[in-house]
Amino acid sequence: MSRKEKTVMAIEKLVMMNLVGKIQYVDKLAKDLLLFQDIQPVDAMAEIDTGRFTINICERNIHELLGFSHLQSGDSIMNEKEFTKRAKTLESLYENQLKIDKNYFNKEIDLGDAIIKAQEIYSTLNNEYDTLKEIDNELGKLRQSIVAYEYLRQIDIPMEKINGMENFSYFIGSVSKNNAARLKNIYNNVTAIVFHIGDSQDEEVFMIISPKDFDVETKRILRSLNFIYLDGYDEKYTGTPAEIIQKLKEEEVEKTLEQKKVSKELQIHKEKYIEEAKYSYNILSLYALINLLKKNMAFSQDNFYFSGWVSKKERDKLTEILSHYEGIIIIFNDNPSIKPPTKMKNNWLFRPFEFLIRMYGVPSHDEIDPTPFLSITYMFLFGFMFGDVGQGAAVAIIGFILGKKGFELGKIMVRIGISSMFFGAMYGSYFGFEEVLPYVWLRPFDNINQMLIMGVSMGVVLLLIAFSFSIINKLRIKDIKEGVFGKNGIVGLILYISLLILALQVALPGVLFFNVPETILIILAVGMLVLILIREPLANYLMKKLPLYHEPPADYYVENSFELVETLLGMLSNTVSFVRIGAFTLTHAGLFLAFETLAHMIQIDVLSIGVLIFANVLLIVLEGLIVGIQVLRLEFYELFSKYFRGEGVDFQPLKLELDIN
Amino acid sequence: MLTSDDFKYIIELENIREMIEYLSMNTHYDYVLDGINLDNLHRSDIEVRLHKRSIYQFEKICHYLSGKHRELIKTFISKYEIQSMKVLIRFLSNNEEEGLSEAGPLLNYSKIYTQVPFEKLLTLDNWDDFKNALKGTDYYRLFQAYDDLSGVKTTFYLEMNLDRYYHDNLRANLLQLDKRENKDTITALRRTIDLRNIIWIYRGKYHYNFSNEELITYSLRGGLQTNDAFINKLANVKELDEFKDVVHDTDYGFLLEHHELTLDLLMQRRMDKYLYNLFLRLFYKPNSGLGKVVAYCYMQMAEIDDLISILESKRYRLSGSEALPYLIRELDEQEGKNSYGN
Repeated sequence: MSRKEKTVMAIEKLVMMNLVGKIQYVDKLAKDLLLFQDIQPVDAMAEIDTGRFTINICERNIHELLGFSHLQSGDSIMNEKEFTKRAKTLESLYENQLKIDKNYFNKEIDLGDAIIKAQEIYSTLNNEYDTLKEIDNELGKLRQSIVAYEYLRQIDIPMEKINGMENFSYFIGSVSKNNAARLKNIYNNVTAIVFHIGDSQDEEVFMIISPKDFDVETKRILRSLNFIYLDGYDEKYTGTPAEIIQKLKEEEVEKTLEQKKVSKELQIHKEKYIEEAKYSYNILSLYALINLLKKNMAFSQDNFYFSGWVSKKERDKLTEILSHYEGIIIIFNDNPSIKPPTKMKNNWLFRPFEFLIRMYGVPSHDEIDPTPFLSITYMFLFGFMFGDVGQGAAVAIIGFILGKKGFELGKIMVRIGISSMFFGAMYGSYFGFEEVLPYVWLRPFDNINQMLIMGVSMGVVLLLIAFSFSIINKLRIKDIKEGVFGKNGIVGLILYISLLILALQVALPGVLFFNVPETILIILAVGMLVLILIREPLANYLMKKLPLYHEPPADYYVENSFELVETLLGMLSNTVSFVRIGAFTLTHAGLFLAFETLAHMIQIDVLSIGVLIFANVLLIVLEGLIVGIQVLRLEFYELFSKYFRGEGVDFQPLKLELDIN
Repeated sequence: MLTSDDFKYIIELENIREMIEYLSMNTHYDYVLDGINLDNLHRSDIEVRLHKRSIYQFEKICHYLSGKHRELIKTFISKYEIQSMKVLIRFLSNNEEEGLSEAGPLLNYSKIYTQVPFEKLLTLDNWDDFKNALKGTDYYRLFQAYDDLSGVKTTFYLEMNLDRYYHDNLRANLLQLDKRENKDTITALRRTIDLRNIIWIYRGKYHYNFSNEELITYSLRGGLQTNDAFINKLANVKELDEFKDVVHDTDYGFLLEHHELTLDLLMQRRMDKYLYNLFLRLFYKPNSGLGKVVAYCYMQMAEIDDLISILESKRYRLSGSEALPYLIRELDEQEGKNSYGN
């Protein structure tokens, strides 16, 4: 791929790499692939089954070729679970402190050692964890009992006496508020004494004392009210409830101290073993990843077979890494019969904008990457519409902070914020004030008509670029019907230009430096409309494809006549839509002017300053958001709909991350 | 909604197939009956599909309401969720070994508003898992006191529990409504509670022999005339005559004014007819606030109940005139009074 092509496309050309190697090297080679990272593995078995995985038929390759006949898919024989499980155990012992670090993979690797070390750490730490868990458990029970006995605090009788009642049973538990009302309704009916002893969130707590002879009956009634028995009472606790609570609280304090002590010891041990843990975790993770990768491979008795997408310019580098394996066969297929994924390649300035592109769709591998165009226009339009040195700086700073926290949008905000600062300098606007700085170019509010005309003019330029992208994209996939005769193809472009010239000549005579006779323009436009109308049969005729129509011709012409109207309206609305660029530039200045007037009217300094600060915050947050969305709307609706299909699939390179779940 | 003419036509049709054909070709049930296999009609399938119409309608109504009004309609929708819970519980107690995997087609609920993970429930085969899967929903608390499904009448108790839960929710929603604006609506819905209470206590007392306490604990709260004192009094009555006397002092004496033989048979229908006319009046009453919507919901459900009754009558080969008494609506009424727009 030439350098020029690369910068235009910003989508890297991917090739399919097929590998056959000796089975004894598979782990090492898989490790090399993992460290290389820039590969998207594909199920090799499927490649072989569909006949896309081919190697040269010659004597040297005879074993590899023979291997094709009795292959097993890696998916069925490889298992990464054992490694994942051990790595996961270590990770949970260290509460997510362990991270994958490439440096461990470059050293000599001893898997057995890693497993033994992991086991050692596990048994030491796990004992302490178990103790801790047990203490937590006991604490939980104690607290539950405290809550339970609190309900009985008013009772000044030792619990052993209540528990020892000969002829009576007691039940403590809760019912819902609705059922509590029902329970109150049957106070008079039941042969039991009902005490309301408290309430919790949505429930009311009752103590019910009934003669033992009526236990069955009482329980039945209680169940009909969905009575839930309260946990935490135990016959081993003696004394009055108040005494029991006292005792339980003392125990709670004791247990809490013990809990602290054990967890401190655990912390010390964890720190002691941290290096070993990191080592084991990394080695186990690596083997888990290797096995996951091997699931994509196919295996014969002596060989393994691997397929994957790699970027074309990396192939030499990869060949160099892999070629030192004895007996390896590496085949690159430049024109695989399946659709490659898309690897977008953009420089640091444009890369964050890929986030916006993905919101719409991933470009296909044979499509122009819209990222550079979108990035430049997005920055330009946002700055133009929201030009202010101070507010732009605020957007950039907020974006910088968000970006650091991992929000992709933050990085976009930094770029558009800086653009806004640039235009702010052009307009001489500083936190809304236009008197502080001199303007370099113009003041939007003093040039209202000029701003609006500039907006539409920019729109025309952007639409013309979108037309050219559309034509290139469609011709690239040999779509004559839409690329040449379509409303977004060459014919559509000629139609748009002729209507544009016509409109300018009629509405603003003399604005153009040339003059085309109007009849010619009208004839040209009508001719183009006819071509758009008959594009399907025409394209099919030229490409010698039959049938000419894919639906009854009558239906085709009815539908397409309507589409013609839509095309004409669309051209008008698409163009006029860009007037908002100018309009928002004015709104920005106008809104602040309104607040400024308000601040002057108040005549109380503190309040005036408050109003101005509020105005700035409102403008940055609300107007910034609105302008951001409006620009996105222009990009997505007015421009993308012309040329961008977004039907690609993202390139997913190997990652050194263990998805523990 | 269906007109009286629709009903008159349907009731005279020869068999179920013709009826389903008519409904799916000529009425708004086309949507729910779409794709039904006319050669292999199953009673449960038809019923589930018909009820779907209500759920679908109520969901649509919810789009136009907000706040407490919406909550009330959502309670109506929850009726189907509760019905599905009953189906699952019955299924589980009958097929402990096979589990619930086959119960899917019998369920009906609003996918938008359900709080129950039905998909998960269908994979289960025992009560403990079933209960645990419901943690986080209101149902868990309802079933918490039940360790298994094996006891006598356990499923019956659970069903009573579910009905009580529904009506407690209904009452809570009614309490939220603006009393002046929705006076008639609240009164009508409170009357439904009254009727259910009287029928429950009558049946619980004279057929199922429940204890007086259970009669009270399973009664519904929020009735218009069946307040706590009344329920207490009714539950403690001994003889049927005395029972009739107590009920006679309310607006619902008509429930029991029947020969003893047909009393039970027609009690439910008398209630349905009474409520139907109540809601019909509410529907036509001007300025009834939420009344029109509530009445529409009720009549929609009644319409489906009638369709199901006609289905049953065809199954037992009853003639049109024989089936007539089992309908909630009166088809003999003069034309137009019953057909309230389509």
